[in-house]
Amino acid sequence: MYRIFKFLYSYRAFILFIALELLAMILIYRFNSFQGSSFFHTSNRLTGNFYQSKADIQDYFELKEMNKDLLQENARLREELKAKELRLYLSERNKPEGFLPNIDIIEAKVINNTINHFANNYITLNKGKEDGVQEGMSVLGSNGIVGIVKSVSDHFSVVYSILNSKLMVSCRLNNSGDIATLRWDGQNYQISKLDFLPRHVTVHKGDTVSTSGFNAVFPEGSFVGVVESVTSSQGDMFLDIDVRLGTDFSQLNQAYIIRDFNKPELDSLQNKSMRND
Amino acid sequence: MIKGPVLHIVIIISLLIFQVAIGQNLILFNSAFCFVYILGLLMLPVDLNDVPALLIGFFVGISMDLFYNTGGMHIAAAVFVMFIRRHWLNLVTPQGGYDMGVSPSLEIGGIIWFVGYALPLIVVHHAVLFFLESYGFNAFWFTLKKVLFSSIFTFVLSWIFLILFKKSSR
Repeated sequence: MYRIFKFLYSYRAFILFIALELLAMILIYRFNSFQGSSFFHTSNRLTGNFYQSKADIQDYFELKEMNKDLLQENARLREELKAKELRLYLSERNKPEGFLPNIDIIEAKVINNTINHFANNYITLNKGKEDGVQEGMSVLGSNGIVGIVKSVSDHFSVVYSILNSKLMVSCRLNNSGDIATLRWDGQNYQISKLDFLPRHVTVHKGDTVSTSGFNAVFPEGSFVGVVESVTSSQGDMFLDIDVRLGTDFSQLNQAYIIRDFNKPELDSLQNKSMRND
Repeated sequence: MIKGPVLHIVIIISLLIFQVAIGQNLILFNSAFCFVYILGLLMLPVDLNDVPALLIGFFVGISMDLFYNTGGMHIAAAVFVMFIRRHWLNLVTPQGGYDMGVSPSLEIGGIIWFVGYALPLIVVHHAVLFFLESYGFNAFWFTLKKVLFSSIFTFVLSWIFLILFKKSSR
């Protein structure tokens, strides 16, 4: 103990010097904000770099969770983007006669979907009467048409999938403008048949098919699918056309119910006219 | 005549007063500042013990800081100079060594010796002061210019002071 004091005493000048300099430094940093903040700025740079390195190493151990989160976020953002694109697409449609579609879109999630019940498939959506859904409304997906609303409860609705032989959709070949009818034959959930297309019409594989807008069910020009094959037998009046559907029903998650405000008027007018014939 | 430590105290105090009253505003060419109070520290006896020397430097520094509003910068510079002065005096010992308790001024070795003794210490003092003030090497050349010009200016002023005092003590 005594030795320590003796040692300290013999170096008292130097120790005093250091102590006084430290005191001076303390006074400087407390008194001058520039020096003080400069010091902390430097030390922040130092600690900042250290924490950056530490975080990089930690990130490496958390890669799995990060990947999962990113995938989920990607999927959600993609869906949002598709919804926005679809909205933009639908709102930009212009009928040649200047007839603008008067529609509203209700987004819904597919909570039940069947694709392999022979010929009668239905889709259940999580939107119902309280969301404005009514029977007969058309349902679109991000990549193509999905179906027509069959029945509605307060919070849910059941939709005729187009993979349902009871449903016939009036379609138009985009190239030539010819009208045909889309009807599912119960075989393949990716392929549907295009009926009633006369033999003289030139159809090629790869032609796109869209809805015609007749019957005021689907908005005109909604994408249906792409022609997969064209065959014709000798005695047939019509071509046998396979259409690969745009919508992938095995992965259907999100659907958009279209509310066409012109439909009731059109329906009543057409029914009245046809009945009187 | 006043002798011994009282003389030194008087010198230091009068230099401080001069510094604060006049020297503070005496700036040449926007880069030569004046800190003549350092002369008071330089003229302390050669064999002053370390601890009192450092403490004197500390108190002189505090007084300057109070007037200059610079926090602890003058303290740092003055204490540093006092610490170095001890060893520096050993280095620049003139032939024949120092007399007992002599005060390092023009009597020892004339102006040439005084230049060799005081100018480096003044430069060191100003360097510590100005670099602490700028804190960093951003304005390095400008700070260096300040250091050099201020050192020269301070030295010339202290030389003038010494000549004045020499005449009066004769």
